[in-house]
Amino acid sequence: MQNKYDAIIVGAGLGGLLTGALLSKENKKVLIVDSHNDVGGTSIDTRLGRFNFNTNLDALFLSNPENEVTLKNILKLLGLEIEFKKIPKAFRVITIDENNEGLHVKVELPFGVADFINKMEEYVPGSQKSMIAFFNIAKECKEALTYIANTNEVNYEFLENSYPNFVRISNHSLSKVLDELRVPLKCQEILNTYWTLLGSPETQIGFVHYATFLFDAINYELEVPEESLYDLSLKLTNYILKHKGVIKLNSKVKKIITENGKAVRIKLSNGAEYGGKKIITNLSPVATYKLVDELPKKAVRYINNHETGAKLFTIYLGLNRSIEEIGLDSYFYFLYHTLDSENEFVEMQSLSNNDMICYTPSVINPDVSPKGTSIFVINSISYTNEIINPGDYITAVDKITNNLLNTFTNTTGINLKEYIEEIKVITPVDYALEGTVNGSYYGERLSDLDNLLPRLLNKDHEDYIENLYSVNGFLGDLYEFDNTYYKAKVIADKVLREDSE
Amino acid sequence: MAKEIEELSNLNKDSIKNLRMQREEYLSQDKEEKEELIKNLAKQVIPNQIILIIKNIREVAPNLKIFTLESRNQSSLAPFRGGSYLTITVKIENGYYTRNFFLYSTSKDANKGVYEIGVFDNPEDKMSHYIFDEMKIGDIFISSHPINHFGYNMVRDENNVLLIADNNGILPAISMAKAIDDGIDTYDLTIFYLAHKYDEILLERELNDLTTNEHINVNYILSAEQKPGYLNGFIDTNYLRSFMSRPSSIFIAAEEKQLKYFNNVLEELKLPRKYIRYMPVLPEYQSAQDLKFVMTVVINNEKFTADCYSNKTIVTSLEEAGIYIPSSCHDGTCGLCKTELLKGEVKIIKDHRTKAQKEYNIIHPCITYPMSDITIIIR
Ligand code: FES
Repeated sequence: MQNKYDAIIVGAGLGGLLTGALLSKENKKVLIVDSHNDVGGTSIDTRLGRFNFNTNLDALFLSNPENEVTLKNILKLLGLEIEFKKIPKAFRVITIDENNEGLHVKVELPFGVADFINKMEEYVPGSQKSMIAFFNIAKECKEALTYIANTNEVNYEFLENSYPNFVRISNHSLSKVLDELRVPLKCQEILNTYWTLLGSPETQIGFVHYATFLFDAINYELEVPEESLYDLSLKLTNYILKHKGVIKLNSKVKKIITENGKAVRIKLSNGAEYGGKKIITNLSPVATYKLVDELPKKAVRYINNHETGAKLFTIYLGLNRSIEEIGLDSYFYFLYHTLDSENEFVEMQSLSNNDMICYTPSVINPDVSPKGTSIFVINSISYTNEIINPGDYITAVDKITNNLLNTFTNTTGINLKEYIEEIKVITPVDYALEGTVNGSYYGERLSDLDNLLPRLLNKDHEDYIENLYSVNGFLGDLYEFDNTYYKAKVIADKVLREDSE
Repeated sequence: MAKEIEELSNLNKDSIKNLRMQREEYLSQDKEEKEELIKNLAKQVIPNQIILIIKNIREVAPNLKIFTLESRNQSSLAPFRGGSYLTITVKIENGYYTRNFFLYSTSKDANKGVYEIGVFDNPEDKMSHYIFDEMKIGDIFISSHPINHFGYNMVRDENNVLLIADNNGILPAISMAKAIDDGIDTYDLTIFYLAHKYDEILLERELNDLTTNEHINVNYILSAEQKPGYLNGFIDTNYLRSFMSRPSSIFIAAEEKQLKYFNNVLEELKLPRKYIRYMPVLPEYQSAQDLKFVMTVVINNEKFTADCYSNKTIVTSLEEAGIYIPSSCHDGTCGLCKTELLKGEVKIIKDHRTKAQKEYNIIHPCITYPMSDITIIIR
């Protein structure tokens, strides 16, 4: 057996690196392994012609929360810093008008709770009262969640006294509570626009989760990093190496080996084994358990009781004109066939013609590409398990790409194809080889009892293997926008605490 | 304490107490394991590594052989776009060498478990020369899945494509034409084949066969010979323009010398950059003097030393020294060879590194030449 590490981290993505950096800061001996030849996980950047396509182009962060566990604040602990740029508007949502009948719904809402409510009142007269109630409860949910996430033993009496509304809505879906609050239907539909960011429709996503998510976004505003997340991962790597950490690339983990129900070491595909007091994966819990040599029955059931979440089909476009010349004037374009998320969810079981979340990074940062050019990103969401004949794969990808671009053009009047100088398409198939479960970019899907609150309440009962932890960017814990980083901090703290005991 | 909102009074405030238990029960249901269908597809269409067996070798010119390769159990191989290549690794003596070879076959053949690649004999390059001269039927290649950096894209390119190729680019040109002939791509392709003399033209019969397809045309241009039926001279702006009665994309698959000439021609056409695409060519570089240095390579805390030369990329020197380094594109774009430079001076051709990569001395050894003794670390 090779030398024993305080912690072995599987995956040198940002979550793994951040955990590694936080641990090495406290002089823990850390080994990080990754199957790729480079650090950064999915944040790796691609250069095509004169364009650089980076993941930071669409990575959303909360703008200004002083006391929250955000990436910015964690980096401060490490003496590191990155710059961010603010997104101007909360969202623009447009319905897709397949037959060009002039039936678009087009709505744009600002950040800031008061401004948001006022603008909504313009679109849906009479919505104001229920919107005020919504944001009040959302704030209450956030406080209650913060309490639950930071406590070992939930005191229900305290919850009931301090957060009386929260306890009533705690196990209900978004749509149920909005109905109770008598939020007008049209207002509900607009309010639900961010549903695709969480990947679960209004009838299935917990109110607590969506409301907290929206409250954070609208209240704090959103921003994206100015420099590439790949560069950030290099900074973290440098930090870890300086603190005597070890990083092994081109090292694929084959198995996590347990003894008496405790994770003790990892085995690489080349046969090498490394022992560690703690093993931390930069994977979802399901993907993590799938690596364990001997799983208790409970963990097997845990795996099988999860649905895989949304899958992404991403198109990066390098455009040969400026946004002004092209007419792109919004950072966010949510393009939905209808504003009824339940209906959309049902329709999105195949790969083609799905709803889209589009971003224009150039709107907030003209420097993402050379002068006179711009970058545009389309994410199309699906829940597909469609089987494509391998021989038809390339044609299928082209067809989907073409359809999405046509839909965007028909809906907005902007003919993107005229300007495409470079294009990079990433499909669920590409994501499938990146440590996701079956190509799901969103991790395990949130619904009913697999929602945020039940997960949080039961969190101490779901560690089926001792000394094995997971940090990952998938949804499902507290601070959604800074999820990966939040988890890295939580797990690093936990490991440090257990180590000192 | 928050104020209770009247509208919610219908909802039960006690249910939260049961939520955790309900979650436990939910997680303990017996359910079947779900098959990961998308992951299975991924293993078929973008496998990490493919083992290929040489089934046939055809010499089509004194300096060009077509190798027919088959998957191990004749199962279908990953599909690809016209103009793709395979990154192939071969063990020669005690070291591993990696090079790219253009696919000559089509995606349809791949479906039947067959790839064909073209291998040029290049006496200056140990690996190509070795494959060309030494490898025989039954031998094995370790290959990447097909990679595409040059080819037609239906949403980006116009459906009238003018492709200017010399011998270096004729394989991807034929592969693009074959994809049209197979019905995979639908656009009009005119190939301008540049050669000095008639004798240098490769695969002429195959090219002519393809022109029975109404969407494929081939024009031969001989710069140093007159021959009936073949154009003589150079391509100029007016000549190109005569093929551009509708919006067109121009593809260039030729060596660096040709590129310089065409850049002038294209400038006169005043086409936006979007309409001109280049086949990636390996950067040419000649240092003032041919110097020999020592490189120290740290792998897993172990140190190795070997010779390196001011006129060879670090990847080449590593291969010759028998030290394995993953690599693919050899033009600094794929990032596979990324390595940390601990000590020494180097010359980087086409430096596109990010700010942080420069700060931490990350280099791409495939486009980097030593200018002193160097130390690198492969993690
Ligand atoms: S081999 Fe692709 S960057 Fe060096």
